[in-house]
Amino acid sequence: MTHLGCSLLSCGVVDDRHFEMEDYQGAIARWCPGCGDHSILTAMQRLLEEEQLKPEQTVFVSGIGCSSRFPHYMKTYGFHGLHGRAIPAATGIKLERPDLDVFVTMGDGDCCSIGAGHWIHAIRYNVDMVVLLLDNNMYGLTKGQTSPTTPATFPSNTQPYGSYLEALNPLTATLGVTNASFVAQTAEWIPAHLFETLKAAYHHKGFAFVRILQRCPVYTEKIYEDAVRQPDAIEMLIHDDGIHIPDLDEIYKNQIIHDPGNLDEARRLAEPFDRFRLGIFYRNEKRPRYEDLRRLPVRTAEEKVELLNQEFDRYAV
Amino acid sequence: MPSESDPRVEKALSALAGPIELYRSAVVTTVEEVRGYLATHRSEDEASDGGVAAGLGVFAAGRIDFERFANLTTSATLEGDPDTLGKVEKAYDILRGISSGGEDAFCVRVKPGGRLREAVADRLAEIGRGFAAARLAGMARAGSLNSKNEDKLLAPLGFERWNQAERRLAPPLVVELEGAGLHAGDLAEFLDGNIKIVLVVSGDVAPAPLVRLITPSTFVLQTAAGAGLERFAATEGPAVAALMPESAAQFIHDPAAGSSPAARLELISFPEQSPKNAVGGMSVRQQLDELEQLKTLAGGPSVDAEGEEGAAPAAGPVATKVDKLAAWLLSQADLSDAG
Amino acid sequence: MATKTRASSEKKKGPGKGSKKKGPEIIRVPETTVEIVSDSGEGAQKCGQIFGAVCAKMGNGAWTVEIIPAEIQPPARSKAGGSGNRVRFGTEEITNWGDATNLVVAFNEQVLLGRIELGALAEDAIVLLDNKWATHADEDIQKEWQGGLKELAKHDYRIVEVPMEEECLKIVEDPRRGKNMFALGLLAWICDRDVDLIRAQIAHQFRRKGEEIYQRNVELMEAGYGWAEKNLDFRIEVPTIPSDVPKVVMNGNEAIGMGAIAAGMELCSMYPITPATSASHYLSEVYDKFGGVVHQAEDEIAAVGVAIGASYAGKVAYTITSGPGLSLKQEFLGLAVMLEVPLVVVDVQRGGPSTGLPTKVEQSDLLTACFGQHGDAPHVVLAPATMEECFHSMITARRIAEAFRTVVIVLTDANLATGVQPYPRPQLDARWQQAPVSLPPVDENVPPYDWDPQTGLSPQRYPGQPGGMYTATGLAHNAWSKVAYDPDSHQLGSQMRSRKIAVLQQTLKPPQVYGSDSGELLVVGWGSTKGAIEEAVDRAQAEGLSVSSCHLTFIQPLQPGLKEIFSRFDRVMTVEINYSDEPDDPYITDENRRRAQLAWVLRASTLVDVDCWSRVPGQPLRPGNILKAIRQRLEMGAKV
Repeated sequence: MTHLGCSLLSCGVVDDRHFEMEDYQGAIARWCPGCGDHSILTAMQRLLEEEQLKPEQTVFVSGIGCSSRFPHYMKTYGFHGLHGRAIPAATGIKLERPDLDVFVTMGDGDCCSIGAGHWIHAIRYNVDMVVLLLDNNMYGLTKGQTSPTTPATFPSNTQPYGSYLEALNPLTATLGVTNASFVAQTAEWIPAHLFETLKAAYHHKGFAFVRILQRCPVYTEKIYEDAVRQPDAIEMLIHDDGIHIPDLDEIYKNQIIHDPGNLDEARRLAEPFDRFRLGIFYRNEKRPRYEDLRRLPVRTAEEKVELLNQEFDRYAV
Repeated sequence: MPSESDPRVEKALSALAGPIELYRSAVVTTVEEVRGYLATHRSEDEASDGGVAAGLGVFAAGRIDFERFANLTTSATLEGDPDTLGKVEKAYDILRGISSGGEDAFCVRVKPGGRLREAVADRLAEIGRGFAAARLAGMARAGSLNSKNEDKLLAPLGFERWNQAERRLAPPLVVELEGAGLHAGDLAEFLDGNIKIVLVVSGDVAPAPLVRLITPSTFVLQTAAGAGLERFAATEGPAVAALMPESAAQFIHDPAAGSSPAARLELISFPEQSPKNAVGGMSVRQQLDELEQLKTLAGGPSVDAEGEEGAAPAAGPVATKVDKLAAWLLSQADLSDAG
Repeated sequence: MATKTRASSEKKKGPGKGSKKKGPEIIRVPETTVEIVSDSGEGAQKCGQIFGAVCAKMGNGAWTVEIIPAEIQPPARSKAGGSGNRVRFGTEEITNWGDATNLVVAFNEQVLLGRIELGALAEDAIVLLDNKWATHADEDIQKEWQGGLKELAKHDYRIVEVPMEEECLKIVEDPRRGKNMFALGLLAWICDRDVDLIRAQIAHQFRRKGEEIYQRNVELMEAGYGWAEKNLDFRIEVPTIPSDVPKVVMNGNEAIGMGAIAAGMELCSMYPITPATSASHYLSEVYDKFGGVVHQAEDEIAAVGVAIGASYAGKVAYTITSGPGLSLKQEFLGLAVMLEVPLVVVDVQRGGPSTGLPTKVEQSDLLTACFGQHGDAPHVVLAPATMEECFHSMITARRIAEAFRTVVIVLTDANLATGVQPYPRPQLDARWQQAPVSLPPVDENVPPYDWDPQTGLSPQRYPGQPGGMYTATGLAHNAWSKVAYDPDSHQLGSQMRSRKIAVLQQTLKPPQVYGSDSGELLVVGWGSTKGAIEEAVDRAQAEGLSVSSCHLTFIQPLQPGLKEIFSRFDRVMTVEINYSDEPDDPYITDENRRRAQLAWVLRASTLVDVDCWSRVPGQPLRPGNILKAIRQRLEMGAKV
């Protein structure tokens, strides 16, 4: 495919722009006060500034839900599409334009329920993009319905006497899929960890899946109440090849050394546990990426016409 | 050129097919983008009834009124000024020429007595002409074309003037030369970005001339049968390789293989006979120096350490070769004296 | 071919009867229809494909239709399990599959009876039937065979029992894998086909199977040819007229694939669905060398989503599907319309609703193609009528999609998809490829939807363009692509998206009328029925009936001038392959009658009382049946 943007045209032009955080700020965020999405937005804008990403070379893709408003609040290109269908759109964008940095933001309903099929297959494709699951354990935009990640017995407007089912675990689900290449978990209320996780995901070449534990002040505040107040409820996965923020050592004393190259251990650690484990569970850059496997020599218009004429020769009467 | 030359040139080219295709894809895409630019800035092209009719094809004939279609759908063309368009057209022609060129564009032959440096520099400047043309088109697209300097941009652009982005997109080169002309130092200035140079060496040659080019970030390969060329082609960063006679040293220096010189350097074979004659101005002494350097790099402390642990099985053959090498060097009495 | 065309048959004069030297009877006809039918898996389709291609290559007009059971492996020797190919070929151009088969090669009597029950055979058809069943070890089968022969004897067929199995066993161990080539040889001799061309076509058909398979197939074919020469006493001659127009021969799905390549599109994002998949099979075989990608997505929804993402970011992409897939894609199609992202969707229609008739033709997606999205989602629907138009429509579709920043649905059907027809070799134009736009900086004061207030058109903006950052959103939005729930913004956005379709309509020309410009009855059709309708109109006119026809290729927007054209006829009637109530059916009144799909649309847009005649046989319409409907409607008109 001719990949628009993957040409010599931009490499010769001097680009000495420097971007401040404001340069990445789009419309004023209209999430509820206290919503975890705000801090994720800030961390993301910080990441773009630190990496000096060109706003025009960056695309945020989302589905439908509170968190899917994300692209509107970034001053980059954005694609705010259908409920559950952010990943196919992002895949198309990246296949067409490998030169772009693509970020996907989805909620738990988006990713784990209506879009679950795409999620599973996207892990296998391993297309190079950052995929954020902003998991507040609830449908927020439609006002409080049980989502796949709602904890059992937690009440909602559709299951007022408590969720009937055990919550789906997005980490084990992702780690269980062939060709998973990056799986991390972080929490929006620990900005330093959130930032470092996003950064690691950005630098990963492949499908970088980050589940962000996120408070909804309206519907699920209680779920993370303890974890926010008591650092004891958190267990940090640390490693030289993972994330280790020495400044947080004082606060988060539960630590476990985990090599992100160890898939079996990652799967074990991702199982439900009485503390929330944060960090990089798994990372493997050697996994094949779909866009590399499908990359083909580009042909000029004239070459294509000639080749097609050869095709017609085969069918000639 | 390849048709009448050394079969090893074909071999090198086929190993480099990936990098060549990457470069070519970027050029073809550039051609298409510039064509797109010209199409949207030249009113007579796209917007004309004829252009519309051609674009809509046979199915539309008799069903669509082309004149009306042209009037209604073509927004006011972004009328570029003729001067700019003229320059972009020239740039377009240059880029098209490059995109339709064959593999010859990536092959250089150093004539006997010719300088390696000049041959490579000239060819890179010719390739640089494409980068320059792309700069011009890029500036026109960005609206930043000023009338002062751009005529230069339709001329060859020497490697020293390539920027980092261009150096990363550089295509590989296959250089045929006689061993006597292999002055490795000639290449040092070009080893940057993502450049890849394969030397196809014939005739008498020093045993380890490329040793001089080993730096922590440069992939350096000497091989006889072509082993290691695939890794060479896949490596990121500058890389140089030489297809040598069987008698020369064979080694791979891969920056990605480790942090210490010994970890990066894999010695595959070592010449059985010591250099006897000066080659192309390289004295026996200089040649031995290069071999000594190879030995030093390959026999660094980390190999010893691994040898002691006896853990890494790969360390075995390397260590053995190093031992052999050391023994051989010791046998060179005159060298020991000189040292 | 009607039986009357056989009238010109002649017997060659020869010496006494029964003499071996007597030449065969030569049946010279302007056209004929040949059918080969077998159990699934016995290769009758390949035989028919080769035969059809050879007819086309010899300069005959041809139209082939696949006979497909719905299941991959239906039970052997079952009436419903027949699989094969039907080839109508003639001296002049053939535009449809015709009415009835004149010559059949059947591998068993049951599949033949199945075809007879469907009314596929002419009453005087010649039948070549494998007689191995007469001596089959299984007595039940022997009984079935006897019963079958009795059934056949009720008709006027000329039946020739052929020891196909026995003859094939001389060459191969498993005749199931070779009978089709033997049958090809039979047909080749009977119809005097060029054996060198057949060999070449066998080589093409089995190009991935190797030399040995090729040789064996040629041997079998030659055995069939030799057997026929020795044992048959008739031949069919369909003269060819050499033409100096270079032609190509292919099925509609291959034409769609080639059209997509010719149109410069480089990403086909699809999910397997019958009868659309063969287009992707073709593309998958050749696309690599063009630098094109067939992306097989995880489902129909993802397939269109990937295409839309790619179109949003660069060059227009496309998806190829069939009815059930179209239903699944509808939400995304609405999004593409809302985002004004160009997109080409090919819908190879099959019988519906639900899983319906997966392998069989129907034209019942017209309304869902036009109106299937929730909300108001104006877009374009085209309907090519021939294999040639399948090719060329893709080029137009891409250009319209981009110029109008909208979705273009191309409606073909199983008849076009699997049928084979020769057509003039397209003269390719590099301009069809269309360069991608470059990525120039954008004036920050220009909105991403810079709608021309008159036309609703605006230039597309791509990621990578400095200064042009915006978020495309499926929510109601203003020109700045900002979410806007206020009444004026939604009104304006809806108006702009709708206006584009009106503007496209303004560039269209009125359709041509086939036949007289005015008269008693105008038959209106769309898609693959064109050839059958026009043949029926020709025959009706030959009978002195005042009938013309008009074939629509733009379904949405409709071509202009329809009301005026309709006004010149006493009656207007659509002929379609989708369901409609007949006016005299029980409980059916003029008020509650559900009409054929194009008829609905025409009535709504022209306020003309458009009638319809439609059927859902899972087969193409036959010109003879359309002719009957024309006669009947004209009689009804006379009664009024």
